[in-house]
Amino acid sequence: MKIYRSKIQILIFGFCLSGLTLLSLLQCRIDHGLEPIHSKIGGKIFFQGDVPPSTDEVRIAVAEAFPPQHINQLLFSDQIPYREDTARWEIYLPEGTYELVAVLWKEHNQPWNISNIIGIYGGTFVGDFLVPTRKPVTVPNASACIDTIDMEANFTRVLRDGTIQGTITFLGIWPPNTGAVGIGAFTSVPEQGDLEDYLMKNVALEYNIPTFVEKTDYELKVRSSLEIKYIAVLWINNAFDLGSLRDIGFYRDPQDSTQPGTVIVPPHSTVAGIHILVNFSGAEEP
Amino acid sequence: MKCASHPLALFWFLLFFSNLSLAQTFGTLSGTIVDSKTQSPLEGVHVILQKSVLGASTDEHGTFTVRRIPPGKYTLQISMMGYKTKSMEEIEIHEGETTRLTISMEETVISVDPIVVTAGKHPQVLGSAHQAVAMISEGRLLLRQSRRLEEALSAVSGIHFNEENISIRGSGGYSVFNVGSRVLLMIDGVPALTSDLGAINWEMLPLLDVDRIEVVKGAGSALYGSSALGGMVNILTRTPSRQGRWQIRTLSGMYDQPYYKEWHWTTKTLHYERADLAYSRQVGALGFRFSLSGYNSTGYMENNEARHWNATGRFVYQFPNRSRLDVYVAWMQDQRGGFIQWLNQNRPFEVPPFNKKDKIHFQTANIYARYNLPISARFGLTFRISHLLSKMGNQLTAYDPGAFTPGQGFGLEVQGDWLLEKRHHVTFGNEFRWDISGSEYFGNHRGVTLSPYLQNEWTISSRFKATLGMRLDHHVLMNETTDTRLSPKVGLNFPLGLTVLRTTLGSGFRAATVFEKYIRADYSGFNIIPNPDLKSERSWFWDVGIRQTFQKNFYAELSIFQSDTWDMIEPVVNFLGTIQFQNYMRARIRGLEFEAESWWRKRLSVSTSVTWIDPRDIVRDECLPYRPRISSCIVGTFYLGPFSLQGEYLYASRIEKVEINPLDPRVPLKLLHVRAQAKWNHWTLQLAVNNVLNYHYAQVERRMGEVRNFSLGLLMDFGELIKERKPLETNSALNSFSNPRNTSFVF
Repeated sequence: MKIYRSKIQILIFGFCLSGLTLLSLLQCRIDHGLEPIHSKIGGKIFFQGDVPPSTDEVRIAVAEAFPPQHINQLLFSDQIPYREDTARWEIYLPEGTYELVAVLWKEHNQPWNISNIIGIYGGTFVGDFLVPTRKPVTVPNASACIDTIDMEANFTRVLRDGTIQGTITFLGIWPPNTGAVGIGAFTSVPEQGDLEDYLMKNVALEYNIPTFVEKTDYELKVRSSLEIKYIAVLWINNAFDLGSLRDIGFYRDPQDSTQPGTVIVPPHSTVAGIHILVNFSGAEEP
Repeated sequence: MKCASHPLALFWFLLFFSNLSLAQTFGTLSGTIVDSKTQSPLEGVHVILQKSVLGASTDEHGTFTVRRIPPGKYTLQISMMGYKTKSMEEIEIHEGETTRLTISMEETVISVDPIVVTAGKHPQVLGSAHQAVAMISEGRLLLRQSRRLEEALSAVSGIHFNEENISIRGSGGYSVFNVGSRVLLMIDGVPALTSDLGAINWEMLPLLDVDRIEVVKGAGSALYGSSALGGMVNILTRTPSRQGRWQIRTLSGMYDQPYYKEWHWTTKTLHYERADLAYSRQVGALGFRFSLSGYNSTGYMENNEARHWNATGRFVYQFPNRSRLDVYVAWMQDQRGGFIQWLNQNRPFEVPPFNKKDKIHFQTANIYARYNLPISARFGLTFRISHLLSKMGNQLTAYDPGAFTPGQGFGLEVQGDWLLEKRHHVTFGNEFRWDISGSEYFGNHRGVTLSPYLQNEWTISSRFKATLGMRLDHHVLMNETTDTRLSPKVGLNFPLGLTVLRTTLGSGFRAATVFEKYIRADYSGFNIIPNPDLKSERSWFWDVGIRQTFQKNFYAELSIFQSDTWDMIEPVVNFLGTIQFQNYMRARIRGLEFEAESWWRKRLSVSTSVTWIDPRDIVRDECLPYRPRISSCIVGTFYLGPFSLQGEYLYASRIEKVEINPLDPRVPLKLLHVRAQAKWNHWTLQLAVNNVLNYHYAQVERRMGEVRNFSLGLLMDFGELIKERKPLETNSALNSFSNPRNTSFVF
């Protein structure tokens, strides 16, 4: 009985001690881990053009540096309602300077594609062509709320109602560090090695060309009635580093094979026979 | 006709050897084992006849019997966690007679020699294993009040979880649906990874079925083949009790609100409940055990509800010729919401509108049969046959309606254990696997694997043991690829009194799963694309460890290890957000692990462990993703009679590299759990507060960890009491085992 009482006393003492320890812990500043973000930017988007039927979603994408080297260097807002002419948007961001604030379009059943920018903060539209100037946005402190970042977004940039078809033939040995190969259509010839040029001057850019094959057929959806001055096969290394992007072959003018060929696709039509030759043995080692 | 004669020939061969042994005359050893102070019988004591493959364990009355022992002199090794291991020499067995013994064991808080069965594929004392082994005993499982198996494992040194992905010493990162596990899960030694995903389903078994868990750290492909690259987790299920035994466990819990008011997302009370019911008994030579289990939870986040059910049965039949047949059947159905990612950091407990209806369903049916056939005192055979059916379905997105991924794996294994010249324990066998998987996501595939293996444990002297082993895995993915891998290993063990030194060098490999090779899916805005050229990953692993026991109340273990992996398979997100499983050219994980446990007057135990790793992608000179450099755990338990109070603090450093959303804020893991327990006769009352400090973290991007929650549980155990074994409730490799009650066994 005596032992029993002593056990009860020790037990009460133990619980009191634990309670006191817990109380003291609660009095201290306790680390609760992740916290909400209070600083944010926002504004209005003024949509123009017809919404392409293949639209999946539209979001604001923000990047600290431009051009981003990887899709995961973009911070995305929640989905933006795009059926109305105007939509409000906001995104919570920690303090810092963001070089790119853009409206990004996503196609149904396709991954996000950095090339599908339909509006940029600081950019302007001439007709429905985006002039890709940019304004950086600075979030000065952890409680800043900036709600004046208004942008225009034009769906016409991704309205692709025509198709280019052809065959790509690969000669020579594929570089072993090949990661992805794409095909892009441009309204002017981008400067080799200038990533910003490749991302902003294209009217369509898809990275769906099979690798390590000798020949493949391709199909690229583009906007009709547009003078496409350069159609190129683009290569990226297996680290998927956008900085490694370069063109390895282009569609040549049938009259002068030293020059790029030009294509205009009539509305809702397909232009076939746009064949491209890629010669790895003659190309610069990627 | 010729083909049909092979199994017949094998049958006659076995019968011949079996009859040879039956034709001899034998003796019997039986006895009672009691506590030296209280003279009360001890249950679950392992009795091993050294230099033979024979042994037994005591029942609830402390009695054991080993039959059919060839006459001669034997040394008995008697061990149980919490008691000093005892060795009795010159025990004589006479023809046709029963040798009876009464053995008393002295209690101790620290024991270095519990029995483990996973490291060498046969029972052996922990001190003689050449790899680091951790055990989670029945007592510790009970005190931790775990709701899921992952929770039970999370405090083991070197183990880290990213959601349901287990990693031993940094071997694994994060993969959706837990695909391509580098830790081999086994149930009673039978592999239980799903055939299509190569994944672990932690809900496969009800917790009440688990007797103990053994964790072997480091590559084990030399015995276990593919997937045993980072280690093995072997769940040993309970065997039937001799007398009728009912066990009922109920547990109810309630989630608190998140700490920050702006994160509160519902006014409803969020809760969870689980109920387990089991009955077992023995009728003649047949023992059986049935269990039913149900779990229901609202979840602590939106679309995080879960509901699952388990039903299991186990049958053990002891044949007169000392052979034994074990059959285990387990069925599981699991339905849960699919919380893929948060809405945003300011609403982290909510999902985007398009994910609100996401649901995931799992079903598994697992059956195995194991037959132990002792041919003689020094030679025994074990046959294992198994079938695992797994099915997964989902409605992940509106435009991707539910699809099932059924996978079926059949396994057949024959294992022999032969004590050669009394100094060599030779383990050899052949394992055959046939895997079938089919899905609209990755097509239909069939694979066949044939794997002979051989291991020799050579006792060179009483202070030096060497282990040499190898396994050849020949894997054929029908009409596609063929892969042959040889996995050798060398292990050395130096038991020097209270000090044990061990070292191992071994190789591991993991064949790419059909999911990793052929998956094509759209997953929450990410495209997953196939990589048919994906190669198997392979590794070399070494580990040097020293274990030191200081008197009765302090124990410490230090390990240094390194693993070099070639063609490591990891999901890589490319610049478009496309996910593809790719081979990393070369990865290296170096590390240091320390664990210690101390006791104060049998009232207070404190155990601590720290694991430091340096996980590098050597080619890109980057940290490997989803691996914390430091993980640590401190557990303090205070005992007073029938009461116990436990505090546990888990820490993992901030993960340096993640793949999908690297710009998201990340924090270290800091979790404090407090648990209390009171036992009274057949009743055990349990209280727990998990995540006391309501710490918010996301081990995987955009998925918050569990918020603070409170639980109340009641365990009723009728038929026999769960024994009070204080030293078991600890966090070291020395946790006890509890073994098949009153059963004799061969290795």
